Amino acid sequence: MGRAIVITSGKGGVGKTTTTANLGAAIAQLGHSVVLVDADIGLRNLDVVMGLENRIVYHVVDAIRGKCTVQKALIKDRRMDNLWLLPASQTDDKDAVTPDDMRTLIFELKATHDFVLIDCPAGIEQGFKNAIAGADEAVVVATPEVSSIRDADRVVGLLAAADVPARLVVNRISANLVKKGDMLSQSDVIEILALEMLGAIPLDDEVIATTNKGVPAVLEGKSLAAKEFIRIAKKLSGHEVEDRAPVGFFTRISRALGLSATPA
Amino acid sequence: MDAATAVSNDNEDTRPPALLRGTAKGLEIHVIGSAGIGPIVEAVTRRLEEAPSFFRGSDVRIKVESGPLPAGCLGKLDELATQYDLRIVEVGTPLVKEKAKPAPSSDADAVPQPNLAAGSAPSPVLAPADDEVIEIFEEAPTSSGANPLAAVQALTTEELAAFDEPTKNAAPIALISPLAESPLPLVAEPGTRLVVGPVRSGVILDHQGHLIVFGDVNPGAEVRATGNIVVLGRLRGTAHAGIGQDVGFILALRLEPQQLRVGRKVARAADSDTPANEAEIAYCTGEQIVVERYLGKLPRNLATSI
Repeated sequence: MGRAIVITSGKGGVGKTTTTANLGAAIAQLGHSVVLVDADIGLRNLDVVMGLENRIVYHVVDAIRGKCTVQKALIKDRRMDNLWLLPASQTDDKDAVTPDDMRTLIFELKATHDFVLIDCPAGIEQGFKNAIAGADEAVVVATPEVSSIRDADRVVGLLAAADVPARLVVNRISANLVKKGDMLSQSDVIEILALEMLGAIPLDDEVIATTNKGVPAVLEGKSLAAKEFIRIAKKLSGHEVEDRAPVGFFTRISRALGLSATPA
Repeated sequence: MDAATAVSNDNEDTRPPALLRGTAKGLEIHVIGSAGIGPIVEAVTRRLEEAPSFFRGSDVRIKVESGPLPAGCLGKLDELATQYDLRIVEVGTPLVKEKAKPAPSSDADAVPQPNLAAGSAPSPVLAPADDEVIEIFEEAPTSSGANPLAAVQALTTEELAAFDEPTKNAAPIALISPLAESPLPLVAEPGTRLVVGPVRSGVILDHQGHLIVFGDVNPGAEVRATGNIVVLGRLRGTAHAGIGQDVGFILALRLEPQQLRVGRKVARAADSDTPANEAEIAYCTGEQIVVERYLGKLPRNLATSI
């Protein structure tokens, strides 16, 4: 049985979708089978960021309504054999799906994949409730801005109430601005949110460039941001090693393979 | 005087006919017996409908306050319980006996009606009103280490009325509404309550008695108590101590609040204020809220109020 991880933030535009795409690709590179679920129904764009837009035939709402099987709605990534995408519907809205539907769907995906990464929509309304319904754990993305941190704090409270443990990724840290005292530092963010931190992604033009090309930055592998995404992915999947001793050996091998493949 | 008693007397007439409270032992329904069967049943139904599945299967204790339960009321409540899959396990009076109060005739005392000019609608929010006095003081009169932090606003009476109703506003409703995502223990019993933080944005803690928070109160969170508030961490949200009274203090290891309220007084951090790197205490001198360094000792008038 795999693990379902929701990537959420509360505030929009902080990099949830980019983080989902990159962590998904990085974990897949480490040898796990990964499925990315776009829960932003009505405003889908994980498919665009993954560069799989033109392969969509069925989407998550079709799968939930039984118009097709879940497996049939999955799109295989064109670069990797173990990375899949379940795209959102563009024509429905968040009310087309209920938390129970999502729970069933995620459960089914967990049976066939090691990791299910759920890209949560912004906000804390129906879409959020749907996205966290099937999740075992959460990655909260926050940028070092007070508005983002305030929203993240709220979301962490909601996640705690739903019994979903959360960890933190700080996105778009600029070392220069922090040094000049013009930006909140990682420690400022952690101090308020009081969460375990998985990593801090530096502000990197490369991420924007690769995102617009429909290629996750980790697959280009050169930028600082990509290296940090890969480190976070290892931490996320490495955590699994301690928890589940029987698979530990194989996971470690695949990690090692992933390691040797990455520093391109 | 006991804080909880004091406030409940002040607010007795303004309380809703029925309140639902989550406790460690299950659900408690507090019923004001004198309110009559109709309002009680209606209030309970409304609260249960807000989160029909939230309490499913839980034990219910009915606490009757202010007079006996109206005839036929228990039957109605039992019907509701069956409908929402609840078990009534106990009917009794609350643990802390509240002073008997004459018939609810003193509404005017509890919610003072302001002498407003004709046409000006009472505003429930903290909007600046024409007759509002805003005082900014550089130094508190009584203390040497006072912080020039507070800008005290004398509020108009209808705003005060809104502050002075702890039970009517957020507290028990916050426990059951869909917004009740607080992961914190929700035991709403009078006395001192200990809470493990952080209290996160969007969470409202409302307590009758003193409140002690181990951890931070984050921006966007609110801690409210009829007694005093101690935050063993950073207070960065809003704190309201001494609800329904005019004494109370707020003590925090780091006092960096969005807003402080003690009784009927409101203060907000000055825009230019730099946080002190030490424990501070805020209390009300009767005229204004004073913030000063906490040197391990309470001001004398506060020490007697606990």
